[in-house]
Amino acid sequence: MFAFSLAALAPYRGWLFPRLDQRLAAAAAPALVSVALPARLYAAAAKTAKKSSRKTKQEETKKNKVTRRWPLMSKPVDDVYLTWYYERPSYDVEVALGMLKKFQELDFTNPKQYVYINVFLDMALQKKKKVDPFASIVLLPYRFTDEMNKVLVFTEDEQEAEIARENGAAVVGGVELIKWILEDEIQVDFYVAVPAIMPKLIPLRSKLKRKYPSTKKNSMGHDIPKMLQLFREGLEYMVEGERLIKTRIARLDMPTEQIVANLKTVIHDICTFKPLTYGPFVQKLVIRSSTSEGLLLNLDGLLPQMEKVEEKNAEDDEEKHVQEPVST
Amino acid sequence: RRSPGLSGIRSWGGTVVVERWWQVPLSKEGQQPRLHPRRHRIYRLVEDTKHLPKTNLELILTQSVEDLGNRGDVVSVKKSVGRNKLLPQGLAVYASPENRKMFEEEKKLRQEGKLEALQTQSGEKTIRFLKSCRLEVGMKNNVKWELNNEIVARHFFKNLRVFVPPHALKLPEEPITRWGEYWCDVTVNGLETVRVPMSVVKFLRPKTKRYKHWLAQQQAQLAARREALL
Repeated sequence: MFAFSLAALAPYRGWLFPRLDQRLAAAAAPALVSVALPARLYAAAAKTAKKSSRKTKQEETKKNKVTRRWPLMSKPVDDVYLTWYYERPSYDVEVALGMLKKFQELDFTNPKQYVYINVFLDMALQKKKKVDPFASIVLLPYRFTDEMNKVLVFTEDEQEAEIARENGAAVVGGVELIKWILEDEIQVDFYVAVPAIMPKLIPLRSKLKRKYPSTKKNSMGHDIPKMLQLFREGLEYMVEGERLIKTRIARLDMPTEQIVANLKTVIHDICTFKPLTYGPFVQKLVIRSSTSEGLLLNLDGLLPQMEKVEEKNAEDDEEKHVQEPVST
Repeated sequence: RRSPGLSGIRSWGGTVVVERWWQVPLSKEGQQPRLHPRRHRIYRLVEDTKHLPKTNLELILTQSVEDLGNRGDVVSVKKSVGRNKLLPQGLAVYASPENRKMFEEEKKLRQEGKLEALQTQSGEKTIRFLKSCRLEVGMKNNVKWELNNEIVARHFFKNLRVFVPPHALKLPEEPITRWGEYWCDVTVNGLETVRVPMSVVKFLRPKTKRYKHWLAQQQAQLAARREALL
């Protein structure tokens, strides 16, 4: 085989056929060089230029991690670095909370500020199906406010009404409350009912919409004190803008373990709304206090699904180990 | 082999690999093969290297080059860049096994501390940025405060988005408790120090640029009215 090595020097792009070049040189007018060239060559060059510029633009907008020719570094090498050249760092929950408390000290802000979380969810189910935006109430293990929600209890039974009033319901009653609610004379946060009254509360369905008592939402049942405790002290959260949940979890004053326990309760409750087989529900978790910036969190020990998958894997491995010696 | 001057069309880069159609018969030892004038000039294209995907060259830098690395770094670059810029100007050498061994030894010495360590490319960029910036620290007037390294580090991160560990900062010796103009020294990687002008001002809640522009407009209008009255 013969190899033809063509000249690598003078890769001058605008170089043309020799006769044209001679003609242009003979003409000796610099303006003519750009005008008299055949359109075909420029058309080819312009096309490739456009394509390459589009590609580089897309690449640049996608690669917002690091500058172009850098070997992709997600962790910085030096101790002093410019944060926009690297990926956003994610922290463990305890570390992040320690940082938030440190920020509060250094910025001289109020120690009694609330801790908020933003949860980004992956709402896609199977083919083209999505989880509906939901709202629910969680009872947090450690309280951080003294404000109680106002709860209205529907009962016909006197004893149940007594129990409700003892446990701190704002309004207790039976059928007569329906008229007042329809006329907007009562302003309450949540509604709780006993199954016995349910047929009489049907006219309220269109009025109450989301807050209508139902067993799914734990607002209808026989155990009135438990329901009252949940609705008075619980934290309500809803999905805003299709995939985001913003809620208050705790106060910065509280010890780290309590805040972590609160966070885990909320996340476990959120994860009940999507079947675990379709993948992780929570995509991103950002924690912040009232006055600080948000810190991205590591989702390692927080999600409920991982434990079940690990259990399943452990069981499968055990079964396989049992089967192998039997077969051999 | 064709020289570029013979044919009119000059092509750049790339080797065209070609094969003879007709077999050349073996000739005696020590003698050149006898070529037929027409038959043995018929060739068949095997491949054109310009259609193959462009591989990269592995080179070892001898000086620090922007966006690539420092002396002793093994870099993978495009062939055009390596052949036209790095190798002719002496900025890099081929990554042959002997060269690699030499630079590995140099790196070991540098790590042990016998040769002085070099500033990384990201460190250079950080230094360039710090030289052109100034820090504004907002402190409140209802609390007694004194500036220390951690507060300044936090403000570096919040305002300028530069992460500075507190041990890399050095503040002036007199403790700072009031608003005013000061300075602070930032040491990057323990090698170079940059003096950043720092002004301690009254703490303002974060406002959007739009609001600040509107406030400036209002002030300008007030001033104009005052002048009109006078």
